[in-house]
Amino acid sequence: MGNQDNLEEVFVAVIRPKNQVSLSSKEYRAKSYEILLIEVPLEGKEKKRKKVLLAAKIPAGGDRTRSILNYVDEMTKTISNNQGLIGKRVVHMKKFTLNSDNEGKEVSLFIVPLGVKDNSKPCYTAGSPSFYCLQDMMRVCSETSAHFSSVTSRMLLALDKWLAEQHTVPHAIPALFRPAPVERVKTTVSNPAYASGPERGPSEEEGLHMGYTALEVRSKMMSLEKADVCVLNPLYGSDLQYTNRVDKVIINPYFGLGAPDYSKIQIPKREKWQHGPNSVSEDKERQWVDDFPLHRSACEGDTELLTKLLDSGFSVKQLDSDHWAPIHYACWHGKVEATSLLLEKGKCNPNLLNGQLSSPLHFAARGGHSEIVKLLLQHSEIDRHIEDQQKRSPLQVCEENKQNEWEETVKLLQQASTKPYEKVRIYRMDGSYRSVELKHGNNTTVQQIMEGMRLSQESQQYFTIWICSENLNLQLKPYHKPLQHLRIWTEIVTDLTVLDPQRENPQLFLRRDVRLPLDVEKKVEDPLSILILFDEARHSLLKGMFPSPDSKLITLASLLLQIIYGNYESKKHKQGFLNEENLRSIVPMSKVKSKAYHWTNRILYEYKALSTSEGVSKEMHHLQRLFLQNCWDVPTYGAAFFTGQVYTKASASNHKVIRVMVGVNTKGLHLMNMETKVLLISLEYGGFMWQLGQADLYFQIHSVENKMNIIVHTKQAGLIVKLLMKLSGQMTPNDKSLSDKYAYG
Amino acid sequence: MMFRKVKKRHSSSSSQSSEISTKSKSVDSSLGGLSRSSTVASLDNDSGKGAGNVPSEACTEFRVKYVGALEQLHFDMSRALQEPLDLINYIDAAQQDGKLPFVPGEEEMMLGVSKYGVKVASLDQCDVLHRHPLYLIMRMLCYDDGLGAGRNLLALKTTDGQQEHCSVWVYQCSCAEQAQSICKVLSASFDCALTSEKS
Repeated sequence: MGNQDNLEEVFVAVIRPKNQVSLSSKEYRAKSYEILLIEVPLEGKEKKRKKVLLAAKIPAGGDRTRSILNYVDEMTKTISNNQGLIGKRVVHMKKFTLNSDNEGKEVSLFIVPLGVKDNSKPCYTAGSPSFYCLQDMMRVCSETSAHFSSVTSRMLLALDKWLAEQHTVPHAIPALFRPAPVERVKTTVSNPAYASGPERGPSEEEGLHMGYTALEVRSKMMSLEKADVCVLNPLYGSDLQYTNRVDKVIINPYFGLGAPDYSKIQIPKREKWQHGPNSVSEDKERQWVDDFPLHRSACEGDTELLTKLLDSGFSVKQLDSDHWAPIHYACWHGKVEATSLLLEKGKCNPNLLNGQLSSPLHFAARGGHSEIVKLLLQHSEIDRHIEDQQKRSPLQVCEENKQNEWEETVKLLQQASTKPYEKVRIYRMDGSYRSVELKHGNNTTVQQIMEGMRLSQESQQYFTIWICSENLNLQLKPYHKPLQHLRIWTEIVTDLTVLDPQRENPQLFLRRDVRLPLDVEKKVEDPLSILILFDEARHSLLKGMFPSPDSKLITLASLLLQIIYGNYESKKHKQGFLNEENLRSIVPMSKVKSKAYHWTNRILYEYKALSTSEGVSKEMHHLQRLFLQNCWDVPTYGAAFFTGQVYTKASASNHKVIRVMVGVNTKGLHLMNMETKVLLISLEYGGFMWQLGQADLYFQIHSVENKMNIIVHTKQAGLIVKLLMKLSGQMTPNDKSLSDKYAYG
Repeated sequence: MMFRKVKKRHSSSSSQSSEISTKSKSVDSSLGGLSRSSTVASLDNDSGKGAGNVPSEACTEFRVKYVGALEQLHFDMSRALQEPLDLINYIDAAQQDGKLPFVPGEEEMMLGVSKYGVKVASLDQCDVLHRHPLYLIMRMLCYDDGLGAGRNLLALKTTDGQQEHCSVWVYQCSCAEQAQSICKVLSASFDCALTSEKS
């Protein structure tokens, strides 16, 4: 094995645990181990001996593990019955620098762990190594100890330290003493591609594997790594130029126009998100053109088309997908003629709000379209104080944006504020009226109008604004905008009646609030309030809405005579005085021709008695109050009247239709024959039940007391039932939101 | 090494606790006998029963734990480690030096063996930890870790394309039988690669 020059000197620390337990101990105890040392004579002193570690000379660069294990085997033969101890492994611990005599030379210390000490008796042979308890050795070991050679001392100290360290590492000590590889190996599989090893030539028979050389095997295996399919980009590497050709350019048309009006910006509906960004805007635009031609013509100022479309009945009120009406487009884009057409021909509401609560005036003012602003301000129904969602006036919006002819626009808007307001006539039942300023154009509410009526605070509670045409009377709520009701009256009439809307001319009236309780009315002393109540009661009486016994009608007639003509004078008020014309002003219409002639004597008689009675004050409002007093017990007093139809079974085969008036007041519900004004039935709250029919087209009343079931067919059924609920006290204030827009307040 | 080749072949069966999850025929019966020329040195006495090959496309999967690797060793070392015992010695020494853990991490891996080589992936097969192409595998060695618990380690020695370096990958098997099976399947895969249609 090589010559002497190539030998390397190594030190070998052969150690073994005294028992199995020490292997699993986490704490290092030197006394658990034994170490193999050799005693050699101390130089010069025959008697004294020192102990040294085993030192071997092994071939450098060779298999050190094998060499060291062989050496240990050889060295221990003498102490174990000629059977050398087989080290489990060789662990290189550390390199040590030798002392001065061997300057700079490094030697390695290897540890060779052995199996646990067996019980066989060790036989000692002089000059042979033997096991010593490590603890005993360490006790006497120091750098200068005379018991060991100096190298051995250093190495023992290092070994002691190393073992202590190993004990702190989990598994390190068991691993150190674990069986040698040869005892542990189980299966080995080697790849035929490498099996023969580089030193063997492929020509050798043994190198062939299933008839292939290692190289062939390897290439076969390599081929498995290759792809089955390979797709290359055909353009890769070609000289084709990359161009960033633009297919389409879209420029934001609003760029440079300043901050957008965010109220105008709509988030597209979720279902439209699925399309590509381009197709959405294109589709949407095409769709918009198709769906909203009137909007488009207003937007483009195409007056010809606009006229045509208006003629063919397109609604000026329709909102498009952005919740804009045509007039908003006309005003936004400054189309003067289109705006004018929409307002005049289309009768468009000049205050029409879009979905974001902006008005045409705001849009026109924002764009500085002075012509349109002028046009709008000239409109009788314009609300010049209109505010948008951010509570800005058109003037503010104009000054904020400063577009086009904004200076002229500002001037117009400022001038407009000094102009007098348009007025509306509020009639009373005697035909008189008061003109009330419409501060907000057609946006003026019932409440604002009531304030303009200059009634006392007290009398304001008794009355409210009604909208009445020949055959339809509706009481409005405080927040209603009566002018807008007038505007759409034909639609309301169509909704609520079967009448020809063209014949129904609406006007606004100041009338008794249907909710006014009689108890409150009985305490009214204000002459003006009494006068208004009297006028309304008289009007109702003459219209036949107070069906009463003859005697009651005669008394009321005589009271009216007193009120109209003053005290009875026998010369003036003779029999012939009560001609048809005069009768018309004191008795119900329906009675004038049929009965009233027979009553004249009685009327005059009572008139005379009243005039001559000392106990009756002849003050006008006292007389009027007296008249009212006589009316209060009339069942239908203070009622709101609706119209409807009742079908009765005249015979088995044919139905008879009776047109009825349905009166609802604080007392209950009353049905009157519309033609004859005969009271068909009068039911007080608590004595009957009602139910709204399907689609609000009829209602049913049921009286247990009278064992009666009546169905009244009317489009006003919804209104009637709501009013019944309210006046009977069934509806709480919270339910008011349910009320219809035309419903009673 | 870390490219993804996620084939969820047996995702249903891989969740089973059985040590071998494969759609192929039972490994025990079909792989017991290795072909005459296959270089298997089984030190246990369980070879020599049955005969047959692994179906060429089958990938047999095993649940193992990853201990660690000694990568990019110089090829001189590769020669020194030719003998199985040397390899074990080397791994032991690396463990003693703290270069390699004694025990694996907790996470279980899916070790798949096929004629394409050995692939070690997470249990859901989504993360591929190692892939050892068959032609780069030099040796697979199964041995007891010697720590007393009877654990079996699987050492895989691989080289690189230029055969300049070698690496040693160490996995812990769940039991001795599993370790045996892995070796058998790999051995069969070597044979299979040779009989494969593709060349």
